[in-house]
Amino acid sequence: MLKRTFQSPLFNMVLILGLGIIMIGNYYSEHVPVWLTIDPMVLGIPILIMVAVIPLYNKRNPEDPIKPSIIPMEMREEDEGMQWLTFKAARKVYIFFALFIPIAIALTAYLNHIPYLPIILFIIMGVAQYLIYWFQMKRYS
Amino acid sequence: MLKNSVREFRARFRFSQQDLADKIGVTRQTIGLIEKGDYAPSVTLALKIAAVFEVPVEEVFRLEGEK
Repeated sequence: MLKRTFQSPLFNMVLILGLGIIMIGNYYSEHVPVWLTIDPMVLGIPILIMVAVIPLYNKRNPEDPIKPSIIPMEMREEDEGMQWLTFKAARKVYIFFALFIPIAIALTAYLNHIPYLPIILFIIMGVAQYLIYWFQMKRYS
Repeated sequence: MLKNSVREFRARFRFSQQDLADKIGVTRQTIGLIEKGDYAPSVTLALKIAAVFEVPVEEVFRLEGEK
């Protein structure tokens, strides 16, 4: 369960969403309702708990441990088929960024009266990249 | 376009996708991708699959239009 949670792009999606909301609440508190001002530790505590649980998980599942790696856990590279799938998903994400960045620049210029718009765009980009990746991988699983 | 008869051979040998995947050291998803024609395997992997079925590789994989 813990490994699947870490491997899921949805986990990162929730993290980015949470980070964006916390940034808006903390840096633009005068522009947003009070209830949107969330303490950063709300996001930090669950992450700390999950990281602390990894050694326990590895002890219970020595045949399938969670190993620290710079390669994101959601990237599937067990064999050439999965590498191809990962390539296809990553390619789609790259194309999305190439198309969305100019749009984001235009929106930032046009809607410059919304001070926290760059953070909204950051959330959209972050969530969308994981959604694109997740849907692509899910299609073949 | 590379065509294949992996599914037919698998049925003949009564192997599940997982059985075949285990024999050649890949994931079940990779076998699924190959069978659907979404992924053209490397020569090495194609040879491994043919070896499991004990037939020449060209009996399992062929170019579209070939008999």
